[in-house]
Amino acid sequence: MRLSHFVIGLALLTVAGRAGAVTVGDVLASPETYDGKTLSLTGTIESALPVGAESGYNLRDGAARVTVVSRTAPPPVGTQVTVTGTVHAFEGGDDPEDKPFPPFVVETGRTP
Amino acid sequence: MRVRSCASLAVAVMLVAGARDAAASVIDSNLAVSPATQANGGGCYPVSIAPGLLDMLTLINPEWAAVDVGAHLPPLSDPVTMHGTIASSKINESGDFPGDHVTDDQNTLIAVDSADMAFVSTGNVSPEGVEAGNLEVEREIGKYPLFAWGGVGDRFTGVGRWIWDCGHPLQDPAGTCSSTMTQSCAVNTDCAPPVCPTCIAGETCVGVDFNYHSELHPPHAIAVSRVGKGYGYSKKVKGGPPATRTDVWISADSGGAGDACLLTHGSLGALLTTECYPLTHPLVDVTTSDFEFDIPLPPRPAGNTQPPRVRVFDQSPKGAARPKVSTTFVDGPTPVVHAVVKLTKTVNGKKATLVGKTIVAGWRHDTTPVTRLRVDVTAIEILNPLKAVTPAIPLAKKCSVTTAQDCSSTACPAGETCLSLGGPTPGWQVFLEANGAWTELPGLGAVASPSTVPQTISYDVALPAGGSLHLHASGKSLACLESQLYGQSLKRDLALYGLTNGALCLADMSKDIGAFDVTYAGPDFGSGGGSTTYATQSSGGDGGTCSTTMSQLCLKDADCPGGETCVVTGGAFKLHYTITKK
Repeated sequence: MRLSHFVIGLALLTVAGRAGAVTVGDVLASPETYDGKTLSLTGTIESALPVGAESGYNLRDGAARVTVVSRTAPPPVGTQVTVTGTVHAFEGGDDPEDKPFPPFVVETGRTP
Repeated sequence: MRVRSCASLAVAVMLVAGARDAAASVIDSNLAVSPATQANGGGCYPVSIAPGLLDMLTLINPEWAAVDVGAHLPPLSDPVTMHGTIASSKINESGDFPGDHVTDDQNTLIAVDSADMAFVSTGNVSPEGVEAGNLEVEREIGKYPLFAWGGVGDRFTGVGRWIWDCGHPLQDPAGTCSSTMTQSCAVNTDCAPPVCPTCIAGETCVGVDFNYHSELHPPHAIAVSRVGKGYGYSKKVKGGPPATRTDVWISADSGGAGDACLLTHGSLGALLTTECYPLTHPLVDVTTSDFEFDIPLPPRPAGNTQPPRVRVFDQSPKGAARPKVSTTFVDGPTPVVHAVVKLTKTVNGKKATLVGKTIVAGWRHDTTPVTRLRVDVTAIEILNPLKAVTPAIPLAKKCSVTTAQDCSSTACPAGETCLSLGGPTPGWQVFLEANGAWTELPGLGAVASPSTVPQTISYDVALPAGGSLHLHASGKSLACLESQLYGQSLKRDLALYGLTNGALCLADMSKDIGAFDVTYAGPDFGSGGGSTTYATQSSGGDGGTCSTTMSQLCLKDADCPGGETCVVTGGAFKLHYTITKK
């Protein structure tokens, strides 16, 4: 086995091993890794913003937080939930006008 | 309008001394968030060190704040005049925030003259300053005619709004909490639970160094002097004897960054509920002072004692008042022509609020040899259109006013139109310059697949022996953000798209088509002495082919068959052109 194949295999095993336990901090640390992927993230709801029938809210996990957009009303602020959704990262560049937007999650499911 | 010189600025007292030795003569970017600057809703408002997307609304509330409001209340401020030499010129290739832009910005980076360095901020010269100590001048593309765009090496004089770019706090280094010094922070709320569970009540964030950039944004009066080349004495750009061609554009209508409604600090809720479009609150009246600038001249031919030849051509839109331009030869070791556009005088009772001028100045009977060239751009070959297989949001049809109504099968109420929202986004936007003479490539609005789009663009160039021919493209493959969201409020976006699809469209930013930037030196300037044809591929940028199914173009892994990855190669287009020595 070539070294590069071994390294890739090791990386895949690492990701697979963490597949059920990705944290908000992981997503923020490496948005491009999770861009387009569907994950489950656990955290506490804060600063919910209802917009018509939809909503946006921040999901906090320790010091890290990510914005979740939902096609439904937000959960009550302060509750702990597990959100399933797709991660969307903003492309960045070295242009001073590039907006340093953090990634967000489009909710597809939520418990409770 | 009261135009001030740098030396008279009240903020001169703000100049940094000692704290940042390398930037001792520039203004401290931390002043953007000082209590004095933030008085009455001025200044910038940073966000937490770990913000969510929703928190980012704070950064556009407003996105640009006057560095010094003087005797005014924000967002008003007195215009400033800046001078420099253009270091780069391009469009914002990655897209601007659409809620406060009617179109993308044209970005001109200037190396500011030493006399005006106090306009430059510590953020511009810091490691966070990709501007390498320069200052950016931004004006919306739709409000900035191409004839007045500059190129590298051109002299620049601009009058406009000196602002902090609030959208980019760029804290570096971040601060630490006052007691819990292991906790990094940008704002005080980073030093309290839940961000910092172990922090003590009342801790503050100390030592944070913000690197907000200062900019001239927008300028409402611009003069770009093209030096070191030869020009004919004509309204249209063409080669000729050694001469300086100066193009002037003046207008208060500069898009979002020049409108009071979008620049007024308010509640975050107001950002989502205020309707500023169509923009009707320009911040300046350009007719309150004349626009003055100096035009450099080519090297004076030996023995020439005559004053220079100067011709002025009007480039104002049809029907606009055409103010006079006075030109005065100022002789000396570095002779110049001093020009004044008489904005304060009405023309047939009409104010001159939208003004374009071209001034060509050179020495009479100047026989210094120049090489005449023609550059013919014959086609752009799109190798990868950079379009996602699946659009960011599905196509929907909604009525323009009754936005809750789906008009895919039911007609809208009388007077309304049926809008197409989302779906595939065709189109490229490419601007091309030859030594600062810019053209937008036509026929790219429908680009969705690999294709060759013929072009009939010609540049007529004259270069002295030490000159060079610079060909440069700046463009993008359009995505949902550019094609759908510009020129309308967040309130309107939410009504049309909703929050989820609105966010998905916002995240679908334009794609990088790669760099095309070539320079041909003398003596033949790429002509080979006669005529040479090129097909130059762009380098870098987005897009590539799938890892196994290499016939499949892609932007990201999701565009490839299951399990394959998108191998990014860049180089999305080729430009076909011929350089001919005349």
